Amino acid sequence: MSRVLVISEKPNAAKRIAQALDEKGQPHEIAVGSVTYYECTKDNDTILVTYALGHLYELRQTEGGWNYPRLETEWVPKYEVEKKAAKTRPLIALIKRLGRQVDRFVVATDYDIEGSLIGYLVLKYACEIDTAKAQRMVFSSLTKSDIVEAYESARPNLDFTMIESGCVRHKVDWLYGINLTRALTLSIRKSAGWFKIVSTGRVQGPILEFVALRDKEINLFVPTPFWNIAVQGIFEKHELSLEFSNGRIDNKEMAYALADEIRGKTPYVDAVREKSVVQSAPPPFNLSDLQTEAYRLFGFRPSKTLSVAQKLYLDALISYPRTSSQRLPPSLDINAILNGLQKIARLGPLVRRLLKQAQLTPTQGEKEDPAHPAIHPTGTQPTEELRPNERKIFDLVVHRFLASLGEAAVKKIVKADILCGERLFYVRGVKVLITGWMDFYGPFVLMKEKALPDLSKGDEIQLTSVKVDEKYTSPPSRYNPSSLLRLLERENLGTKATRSEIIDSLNSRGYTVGDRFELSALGYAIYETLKQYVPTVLSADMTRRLEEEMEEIQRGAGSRESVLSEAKANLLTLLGNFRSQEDTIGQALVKGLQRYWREEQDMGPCPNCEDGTLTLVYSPKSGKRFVGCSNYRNGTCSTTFPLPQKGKVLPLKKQCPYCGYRMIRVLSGRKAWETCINWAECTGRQDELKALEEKRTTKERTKPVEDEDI
Amino acid sequence: MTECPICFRQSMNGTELCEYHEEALTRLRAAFAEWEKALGVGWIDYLSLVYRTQELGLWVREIVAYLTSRSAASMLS
Ligand SMILES: [Zn+2]
Ligand SMILES: [Zn+2]
Ligand SMILES: [Zn+2]
Repeated sequence: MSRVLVISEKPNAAKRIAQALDEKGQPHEIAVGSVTYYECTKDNDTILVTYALGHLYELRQTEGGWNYPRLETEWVPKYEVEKKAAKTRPLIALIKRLGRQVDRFVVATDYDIEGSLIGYLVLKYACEIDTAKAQRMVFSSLTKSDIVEAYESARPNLDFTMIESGCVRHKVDWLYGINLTRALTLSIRKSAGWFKIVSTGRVQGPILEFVALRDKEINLFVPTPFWNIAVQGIFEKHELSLEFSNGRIDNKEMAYALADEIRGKTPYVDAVREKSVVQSAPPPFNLSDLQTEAYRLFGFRPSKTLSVAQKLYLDALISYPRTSSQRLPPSLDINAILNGLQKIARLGPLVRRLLKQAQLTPTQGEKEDPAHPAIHPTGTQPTEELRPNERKIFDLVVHRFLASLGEAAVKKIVKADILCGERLFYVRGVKVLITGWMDFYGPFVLMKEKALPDLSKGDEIQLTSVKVDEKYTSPPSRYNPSSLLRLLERENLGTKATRSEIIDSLNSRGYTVGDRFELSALGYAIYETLKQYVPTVLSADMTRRLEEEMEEIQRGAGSRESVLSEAKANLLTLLGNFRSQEDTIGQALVKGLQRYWREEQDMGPCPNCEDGTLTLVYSPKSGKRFVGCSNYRNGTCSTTFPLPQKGKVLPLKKQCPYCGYRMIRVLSGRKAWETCINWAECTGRQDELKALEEKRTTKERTKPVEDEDI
Repeated sequence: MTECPICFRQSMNGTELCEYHEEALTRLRAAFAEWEKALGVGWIDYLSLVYRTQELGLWVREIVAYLTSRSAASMLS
């Protein structure tokens, strides 16, 4: 008979684990002040299940002072470095006490570098035991069977290579983040006397550079005109779009001459080519595939998709989402999962159809992950109704899983040559012959296909219109959260667990604006300064090399000490270099910040006085904001314009086409819209106002049911 | 040390413009040949046509506005 302490990562996970391990499925929840733990009985053993709240320990510099360089750190309870983490104090005290009452320790945190480090730090600093004696539960879902199995076959040792790698990652990120942020911030204080925190980090520098390079290309873009001949015809009641074989025409006169030439002719089919294409089922999701699809289909930011998926994982509905794998292991009981899913009413018919298929072998993708399989449903049915966002992600994961088990789809691609006098045109069509897996991906299939009528050589097409379209070449498109995530993945920057958070921080720090990552004047100021004086901070090479070295440690190949000392040495050189140019850097940043603030507030010249400038004003009395004239203070002009009070307001460098006043962009939550500062009076904006008013009244009638963010 | 008249960034050596606006001017000049070929327009018409496109980059737009206002000013004086 022994007493065991199981350490999980989060309160919800602790509850699931306790319920699974207790013989009767009814563990005792014991409250100690504001925190709790669970006690269960299994095979005459008493198991105490406790939880961390993410990390319970954090790094702190050993030498005091808000300065740099600071290279030496120690692990301390999180509440000592973060005021917000007060809840970790009673929790650490509880775990300390429980640790003295048991004879066996089992870590049951998420099986990844972060989770392993969390468990290790708790054992080392709260329980103060010899970590070599602790065991490790490894599981990829929180279903009862997986948890029991993981407990009964717990590994005799912790995953020390993963812990080492996590520890180095934490330290390196701390070193770069803290020291660079202080260097930037202190240079500003020295130069202007302000205290404005300007942060950057190891991975953020390179991302800033990617975004800046794209932004520059867009700002420098000069479009050139070209013309397309848009030819429409009819064949046996089918409308056809004919595509000119030479593509774009780069001269206006030629385009119109060509259109005239075609107008009198009767086009006919000269040749028809067909080919069949087999499209095998897609592999099941890894995290970034799921994030990409959720962005495409629902517009969810990657960080939101991750947090919703995390919630579904804690409810034991899907497997662990932080995985790179696109593969399902042969040991996975697919039939059991399908039988479970069958019981969900809206999925029943589809699942039963799949069960009739002769073979149920999932398509396997190329990407692997040693720790976890691809994301898949567990077969557990939701016990309560899912919130709308949860249901979207759950259904997406389920349909993708079902699709991965489906048979290949077959499509017929048809391309016909159409002659119009001497000129060659094409028509194209795609027809799905066998739907296969597409039936199971259902509403999420990307359908661009358009079938063609049966065309044969010699068929004549009746022309219905010939038009010349004038167009312009376009600049490269801006990043969106999803394409930026893909880029980081391709460049091997950050980890699957941290990427979406780093992307969000670009916006929250004010370096970029909106969902399309326009670089703000602040972003430019930071980027330009770093580029000129300490370009290494922006270099993807350095970050990528570190990333590889940390992966090596995880594989058991690299040495933690050497990676850490190399990172410190590099950082020290960089900081020395920074320090020697501190004054110049500070001045450059201050100028950039001034430009940023000016651009954030400048709303153009005042329409009612000679030398006034309209700026953003906050009323000290009401706390409300509005646009006011700079001559308000000396009492010569009292021009004001009202502003929406919610969201962020950004002046745009363009004028309203209706009234000529400056345009602004309003960003509120995920929504962004443009209007003019004169919107209340502007003749062109009255429809918008009406629509807004209507929306407001409908909103009052139907109380909001969906909370956007969980 | 002089400042770019458009954005107040530091001017490049030998020009009044900053690095970005200098590059914008270069690209504006480079694209003229294609507009000339496409539409048979002259420099002044080109400026006003390109200014009307949505796709024009912000820095190039600023350069066009700057050139236009400067030539208007020089015509007045
Ligand atoms: Zn005024
Ligand atoms: Zn207006
Ligand atoms: Zn400039």
